[in-house]
Amino acid sequence: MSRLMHTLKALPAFVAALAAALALTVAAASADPNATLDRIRGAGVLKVPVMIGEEPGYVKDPATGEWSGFYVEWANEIAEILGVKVEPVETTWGNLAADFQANKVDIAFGLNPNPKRGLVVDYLSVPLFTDAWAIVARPGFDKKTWAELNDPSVRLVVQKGGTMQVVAEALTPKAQIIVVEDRPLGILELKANRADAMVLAIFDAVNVQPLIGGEIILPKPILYNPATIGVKREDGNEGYENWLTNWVNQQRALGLAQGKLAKHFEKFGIDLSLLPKDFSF
Amino acid sequence: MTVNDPKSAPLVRIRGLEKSFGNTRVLRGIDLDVRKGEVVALVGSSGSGKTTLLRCVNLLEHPTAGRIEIGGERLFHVEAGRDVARLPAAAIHRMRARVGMVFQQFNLFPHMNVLANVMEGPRTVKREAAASNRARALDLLAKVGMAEFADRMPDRLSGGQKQRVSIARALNMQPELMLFDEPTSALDPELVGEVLKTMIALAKEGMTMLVVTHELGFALEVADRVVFLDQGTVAADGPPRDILLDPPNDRLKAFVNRFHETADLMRPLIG
Amino acid sequence: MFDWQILVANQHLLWYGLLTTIKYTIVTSLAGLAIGLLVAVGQLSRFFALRAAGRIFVEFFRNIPLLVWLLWSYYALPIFAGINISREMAGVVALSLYVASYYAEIFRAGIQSIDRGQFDAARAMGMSDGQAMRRIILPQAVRRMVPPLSGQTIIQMKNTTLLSVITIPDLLYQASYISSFTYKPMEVYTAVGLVFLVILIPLTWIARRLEHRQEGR
Repeated sequence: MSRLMHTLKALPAFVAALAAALALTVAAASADPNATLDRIRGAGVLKVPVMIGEEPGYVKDPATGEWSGFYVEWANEIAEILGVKVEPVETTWGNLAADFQANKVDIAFGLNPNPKRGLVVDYLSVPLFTDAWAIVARPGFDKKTWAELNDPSVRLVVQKGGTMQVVAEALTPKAQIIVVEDRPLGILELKANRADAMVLAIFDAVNVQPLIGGEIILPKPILYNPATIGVKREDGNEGYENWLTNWVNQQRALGLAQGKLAKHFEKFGIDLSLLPKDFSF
Repeated sequence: MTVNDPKSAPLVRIRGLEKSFGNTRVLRGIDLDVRKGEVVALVGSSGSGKTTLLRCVNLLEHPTAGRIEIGGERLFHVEAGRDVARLPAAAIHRMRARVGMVFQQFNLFPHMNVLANVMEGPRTVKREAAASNRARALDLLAKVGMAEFADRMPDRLSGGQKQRVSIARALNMQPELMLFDEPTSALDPELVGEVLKTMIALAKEGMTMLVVTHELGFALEVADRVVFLDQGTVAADGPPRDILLDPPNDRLKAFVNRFHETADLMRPLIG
Repeated sequence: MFDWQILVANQHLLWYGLLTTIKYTIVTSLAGLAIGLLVAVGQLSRFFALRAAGRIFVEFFRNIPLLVWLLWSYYALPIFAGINISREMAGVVALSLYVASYYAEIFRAGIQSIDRGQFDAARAMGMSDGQAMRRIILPQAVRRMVPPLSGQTIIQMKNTTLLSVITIPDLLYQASYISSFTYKPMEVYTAVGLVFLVILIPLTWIARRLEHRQEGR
């Protein structure tokens, strides 16, 4: 046979071998669960999102610009164990998914699992703390169930881009839902009597209630809302996720998570006794 | 009004010039010679293509076909759609520096005063030193009778004054050839005289001039030759007395009817 | 009722925000002017490729919302090309290119408004296109363009408030920040509004005076 014919006959075998080799490499890449951990440790920094308007989770010192708050403390603890430094990356809730996609952040705290965001973000299956959906009502408004709230005469305020908007649209579609840019504007709506209640996570509710003077109500049935940690969905983040999950479990088992929250809320002057008796986080 | 030895090569030589704007054929094959020191008047009704022809001479318009030579240098040559001689931009600019042009709308630069206008060409194009530029500029302004207006801004001048300044501006480049595009058409009648006087003085000094004009009196008394353009071709070309006093065809005859009026106006001005 | 005290207590934040706003306004306006002039001249070029490129540039930036463009500038490079770009760089680039398209149209219209005879006279003397632009056309055109250019720059100062969305600490960001820990958004946003008015009303007045002076000539 001519040289050409020899080569042609060998071609299928060569292609198969090449394909197998490639498959192995790809499989090998996705099989290394340490990839993300190695990347973070190699970079020497844990990039953590920080935001204004999210006290006491994130607190920016007006004088020095330094960041503190319980989310930041958790980030510091995690970073210390990993042997890296925390690098705060300022952003907003609305931009968070894009930040993950763009690799601007390595971790995010206090996320409520959200199927749409779940396309980009991996949520830990264990909650860091458990939130619940509550409303802060203006004085005199006292509807106590989701069914009662789901009425055209009810005016609810929600923050844009937050899960509370999703909750309101899902549970109280008949109510008038007013969407505001940030929390202080929502409070204004209540004060101006353009809304009856603001839908908030319970911890934000205790923060906000003193400014409005009305009641904190946990509408029945109580909707618990796990707040957990999110990381970027990428090949090789299994080790990172598993390690974080263990850390969270430890925090909760030792009561450390709850203790930290209680401490920060107290420091911020938020009265946790305002929480309804039947709620525990 | 001197005419050079007819046997020497013409300063401007145009052959078979054609120009179309889109589908409109404005110039349909022009042959024209201008000798050194000649004053050629280009006449014809509107739409005959005379302004277009003038603007082709210094390539302000780009002809469609034909040949143009100035001072023996081939400026433009397109034959049968093929570019036989395409001058690079720098060469075109150099050629334009040797050809002065005076416009119907004067086109003085409004953001400079009169003297700066006159000095602008040599300053920017020839990078001439200010001293010699200025001296010659003031001299030329004096010649056109505008010396006291040197630091005036153009918008303060009358039409006739502006046109005289623009003539001085063109002359300051020391051109070999001067093109005039209906230099008095935009002027009030009483201002026409001062500009024509300036042009006559220029002609007497032996400047080669190609003048598009409606002033048939000027053509008769000052031009060495009159070229009558009709619908994009040269319909008549000869000494003014022949063309204007004894029009060889009907169209020219009709066109020339105004001559008698303007010639009477012209006589006192001519020395 | 109106708690002015929180404004006084946090005035350093507001000053810093104002400084940032002014900084971005000046930097992006200057960059935008330079880019806009190039794009305008390109649109007037004899080369089709340059004219087309200029046209596309202008149509793109005049029809895209600035907020969308800003977010895209900040996130697209990292997501699609793996190049991390700082928010400050993204802010400057996005705002500069955006305003450049508006400046480009002002330049183009200004240049084209100059009588063609000016160009004829310049070319007839033997000036190159560049010389004609520099000596004759632009000096006249710029005079005419100053009023719309200053108007656009005033708009640009208001456009910089979008930088707060990518957490650049401009005046609006500081307003949101201060209201987040004082819960007094009315006072803060009123103050920010007043600051803009106090700065922009005199500038608008000056711009209008320039326009009248221009028409007087």
